[in-house]
Amino acid sequence: MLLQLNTIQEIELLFYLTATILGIQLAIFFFYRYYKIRDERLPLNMILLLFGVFYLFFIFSDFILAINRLFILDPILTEIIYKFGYVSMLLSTISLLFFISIKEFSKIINTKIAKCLIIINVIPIIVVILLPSSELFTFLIVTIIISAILIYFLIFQIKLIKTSKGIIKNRLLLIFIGTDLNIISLFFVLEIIAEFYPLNILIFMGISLLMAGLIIVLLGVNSFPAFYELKWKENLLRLLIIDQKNHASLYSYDFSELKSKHEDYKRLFSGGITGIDSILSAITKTEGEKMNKIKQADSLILLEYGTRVPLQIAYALIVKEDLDSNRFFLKTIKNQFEAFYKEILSEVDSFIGSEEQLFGSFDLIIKGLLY
Amino acid sequence: MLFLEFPISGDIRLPLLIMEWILIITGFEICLIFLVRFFKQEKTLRNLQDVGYFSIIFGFSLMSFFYIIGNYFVPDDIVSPFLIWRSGSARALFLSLGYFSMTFFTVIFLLCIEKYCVFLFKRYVFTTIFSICAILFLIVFFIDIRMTQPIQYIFWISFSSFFVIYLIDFIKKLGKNRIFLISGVFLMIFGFLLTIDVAIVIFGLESRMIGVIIMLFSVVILSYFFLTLPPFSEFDWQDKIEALFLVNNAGICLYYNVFSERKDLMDENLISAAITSINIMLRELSETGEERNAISVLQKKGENVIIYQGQLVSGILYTSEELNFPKVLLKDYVDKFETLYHNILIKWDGVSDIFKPAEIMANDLFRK
Repeated sequence: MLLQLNTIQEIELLFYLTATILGIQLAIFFFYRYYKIRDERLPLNMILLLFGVFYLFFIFSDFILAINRLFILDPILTEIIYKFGYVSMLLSTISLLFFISIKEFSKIINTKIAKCLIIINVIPIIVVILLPSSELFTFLIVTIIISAILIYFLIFQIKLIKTSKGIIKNRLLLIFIGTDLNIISLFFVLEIIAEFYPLNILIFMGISLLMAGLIIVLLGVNSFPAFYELKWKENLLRLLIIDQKNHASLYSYDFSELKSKHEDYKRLFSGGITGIDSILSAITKTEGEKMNKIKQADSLILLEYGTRVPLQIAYALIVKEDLDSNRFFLKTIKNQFEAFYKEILSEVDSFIGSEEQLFGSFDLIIKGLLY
Repeated sequence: MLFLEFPISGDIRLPLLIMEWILIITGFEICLIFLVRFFKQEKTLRNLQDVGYFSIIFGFSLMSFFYIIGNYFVPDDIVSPFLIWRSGSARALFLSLGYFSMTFFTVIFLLCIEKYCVFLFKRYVFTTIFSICAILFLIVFFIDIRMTQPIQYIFWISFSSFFVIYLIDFIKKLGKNRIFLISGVFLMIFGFLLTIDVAIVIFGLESRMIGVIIMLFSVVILSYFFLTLPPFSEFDWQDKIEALFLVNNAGICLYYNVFSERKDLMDENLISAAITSINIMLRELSETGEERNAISVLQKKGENVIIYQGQLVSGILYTSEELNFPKVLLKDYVDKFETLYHNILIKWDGVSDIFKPAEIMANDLFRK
């Protein structure tokens, strides 16, 4: 049975509608950003997917609880919808915990706690399903467990922000502040709190906080960069861009203080890579296939090849460890180099001898990618 | 005579209110996109047309917001006296506020559009006409709050005449994507007609509901269309580009390209030297003391010279009209050239063959 709304309730519904529209757009935007870089398999980009899931459940729970309060009079139906709302809210926190439990974060926080909290989070779900939502016990269980998760999430946020640098740090800060505001807004609309205060005031405060949080998160997720693994930069040693046709090095960049053993290292490297590739192709009968990784003692050479035909440009990144972030970084370098020098690359043969001068300005792009 | 009671009540009230609210939210979001786009551009390169689109959508959303208050939340009973008026109603007040916000923001829209384009015989013709309308509206508003609606009809009829001229001009210059504009405008007009009082009297409130849904689609289509469009006034900017020069700080011409066959220019080295002198003079004259990364425009009848001074190179663009978009491109071109040739420019040995790829870049950017 549907209830006729009074003016205040109608305005409340319109506020909720606004927050819901913003929330759904935000979730879609998270998914879209994740979809754009999903092929690179950077584990930390899961932040986009899992925050998208979080907001979907979160907004759904918020909206369904509001609809229940405003429209539904039938007690049985009310109880069922409350259960759906609370379960959805608890599922949203699970997606946050899934994000924290990514192996990569074990460097900054004990991820076993996140895994335990995922399991513990099942308890309030069971309690909500089995017990009436109006019971004080239900409220206490839900509040205590959600509070524990929030404290853990807050510690994680601080640690992650401290570890991050540059644009990603600013973006994460916005996303976390917005998310915290959104979670706080939930407490304003809990039925039991509402019994002690005028509901309308609390609800409007809660929705305002919710909308502010959503807008802040939207600012954060807008142009969110690829999220590389933590400390990936320390892993980089050297970059070389090679013209395989002329066996010449077009560009090189040292990420570390590593000194070359040979003075003519770049020429040697350029010729060496091309030679190794030819020999390997001959002995394995894989002509046409390109080598993409060479492991040598405690370092690794990741290789990418240019897409501009008939040019034969190889991009070699020497790293300490094989991280997905490094591969993605190399691909980004390739795309940037080909886009930036597209006019020059078509006439590269006529600039033999001036490569270092000509391509030296790529340093600026590399520095831009690093920070 | 409208046989409809306000505030709107009955079964259709809530669904209609929700749809109208979604339309407002969408409108506000879209107008914000235009505003952000405007502020994201560099100060000297900002195009007011984005502010114009922001104004018209913001005005429309604000008007719809006041309509919602007037139609759903306040009584329509005539009270005498009513606030500062001899008689009036709360609904009439909010509707008038809606009309006024739309009128006000339409004037801003016209001002932004007419800054770059001349419609009919003189610049700012429509802005002047609509400003007079807005003042008339205000006078009537203070005399009798219930008389603002007829004034609004006059306003909209005049605006339609402007819009038809604008649209014809616009469609002529568009390519394949004119279908988005035509369908968007058609849906907007059709949707709007379904929401006006006459349509509601004939078809009932259901027509208003359908009208709002159609308008929602139309707002999305039109916004997509305008967001992907270069500034209207500069559609045919490529026809107006005549020549490009790149000069280093010593006044030597590094590269030049004459795009217009009609263009008769003097020797490129003389031009380079002249521009360098002009640059030095401008620098001395400048009170801000800004030397680098500044755009100067030298204007004579039928001839414009845009100069962008980078760190190591100055770009000079000859155009037949003063346009904003080529300024953006010139800046991009010089910045890219400087980054590409940074090391070479610092110790250039006088061989200009190395700058050959600059031609490909220039053709990509400036040629049709």
